[in-house]
Amino acid sequence: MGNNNVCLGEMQNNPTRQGSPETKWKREDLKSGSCVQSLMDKENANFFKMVQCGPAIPHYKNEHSNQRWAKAIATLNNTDDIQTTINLLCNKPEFEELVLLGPPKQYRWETWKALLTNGQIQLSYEKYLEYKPIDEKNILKDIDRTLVQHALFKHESCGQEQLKRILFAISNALPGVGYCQGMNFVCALALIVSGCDEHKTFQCFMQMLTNEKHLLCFNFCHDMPLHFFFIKLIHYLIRRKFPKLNLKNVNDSLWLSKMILSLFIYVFKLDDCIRCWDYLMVRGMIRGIPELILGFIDVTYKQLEQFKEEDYGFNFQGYESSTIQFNVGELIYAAKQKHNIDRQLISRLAIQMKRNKPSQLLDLLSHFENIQTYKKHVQFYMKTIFDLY
Amino acid sequence: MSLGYYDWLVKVIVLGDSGVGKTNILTQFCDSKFSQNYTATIGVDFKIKILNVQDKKIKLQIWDTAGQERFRNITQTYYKGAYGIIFVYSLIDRNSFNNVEGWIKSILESTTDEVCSILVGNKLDSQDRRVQTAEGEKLAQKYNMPFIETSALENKNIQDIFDRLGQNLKIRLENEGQKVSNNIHTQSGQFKLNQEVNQTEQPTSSCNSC
Repeated sequence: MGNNNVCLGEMQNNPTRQGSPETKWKREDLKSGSCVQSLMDKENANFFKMVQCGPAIPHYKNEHSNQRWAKAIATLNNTDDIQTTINLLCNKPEFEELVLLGPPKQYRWETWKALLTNGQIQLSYEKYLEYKPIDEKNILKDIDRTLVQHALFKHESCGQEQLKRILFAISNALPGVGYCQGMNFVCALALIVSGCDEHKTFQCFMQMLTNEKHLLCFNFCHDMPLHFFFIKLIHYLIRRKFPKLNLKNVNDSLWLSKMILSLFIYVFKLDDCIRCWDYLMVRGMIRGIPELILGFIDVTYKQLEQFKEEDYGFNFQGYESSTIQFNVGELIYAAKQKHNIDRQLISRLAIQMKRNKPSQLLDLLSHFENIQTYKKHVQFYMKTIFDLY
Repeated sequence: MSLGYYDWLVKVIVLGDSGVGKTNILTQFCDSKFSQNYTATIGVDFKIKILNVQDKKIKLQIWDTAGQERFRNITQTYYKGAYGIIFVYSLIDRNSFNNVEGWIKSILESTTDEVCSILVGNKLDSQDRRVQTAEGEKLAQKYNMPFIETSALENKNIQDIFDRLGQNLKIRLENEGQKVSNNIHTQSGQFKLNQEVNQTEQPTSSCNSC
């Protein structure tokens, strides 16, 4: 069998685990970009232009952003490769602001990666692919129903195969969370932006799920406590900031749940999502998601004001069928400048909600205002609950 | 035929396991098409269609729900105000049939209102049947609802689902209508007589062929 780190294809069935690894994944299948090559062979066309992943992701031509990035990069000595550039930049105080302005497309994935995984332990992706997850069936149901209009996911053997493997691995790494619809979209978008880098997408997604800035595992686990926390927080803020917005009889699942559970992918244009994710990477999901939603309400207020329940129903099921128009740059600006949520509010709300219905998430979030204590609690929790490291 | 006019507005929800074809049934019914490239539903999607039942027009507001089990927490909040429920399972997925009773019970638990239901076994086009017709019939009888097997792919019996549901809805609405004329102020918003829809209705809505 040789080196365990390398060999996957011949791995023995582990009888104590669910399922059997009848799929034999070759090491080269898992290598970053290998799928890109086979897709290129298949399509035999201008691959990056068509697939729009990796370096070809359209970015917003923002002169200010371009200038700021060019200036910041010019101050560095070593700018030969993208990774080194970002690693040097990310220690600078202005880095987060640069990201909010929108990284040049070729820097985006390294930027996200740096914000998500710097200083974190690398998990063994292969280890979690040795056996099939309990909810294999649920994952398989969604593989050909995820961003299939996107070229990368049209071919079963490429993007879909990678998506399947990452979701299997995630489900094995976090068996208490398992697979939840919504994860498929999140994983697919990360895969696109990474340029099909399966390993790194897995690492980044794991951080989104378990890092104290994000805690998305609570968004997707049974009972979805983070989702319900967001809903409560957002309604509280809407009442305070947009008291005249009429949401009576408007079911949250028609719009808010979709934005929360798919990180905007179900609702926004992919390009706009990517810009929103720039914001999420900097702010963290816990504050970033509600801030962006408040920013969204802010920049579309004149339209939402006219909406009745049915309009909420129709305008949040994909951007093609939506009449809502907004500029994503303005949305991010509004989120940052006008809807900044302070740590204390999160703690206060968590403590209040805990009185009615205690939960692990609310326990953790009640420490949110004290960064050190909060971090310690989260790390302890993740170690005890999940099959990590 | 005026698009805006209808006699009743009725909320209908579609329930069933993930991947049984709920969205495809609705797309076939409302937009007359079948898409191989469809997306897993998150939360709840929404469709509108006007159904003619004899001399009446019923405007159906159809809620297409996410099927994964953990979404039931969210789904329960949709039940309020529903007049019709379509329970869907897949003929080629035994589990989805076994779970139908769970869906039915979740409705019985959360609403005391009488709802018009129908049981639908989808994917009749497939050769790999795992649930026999008699089993579906038996389950439907147990809960006293009509039963129908369909194929969204081949557009087989799809219209029938809504015709049969429509018949039952009409009977129920007419009974309630008599109550309304006696006590018009106690009616809630989801039940309106001879209402004219104003001009704000979006032409982009998914059904404009009705």
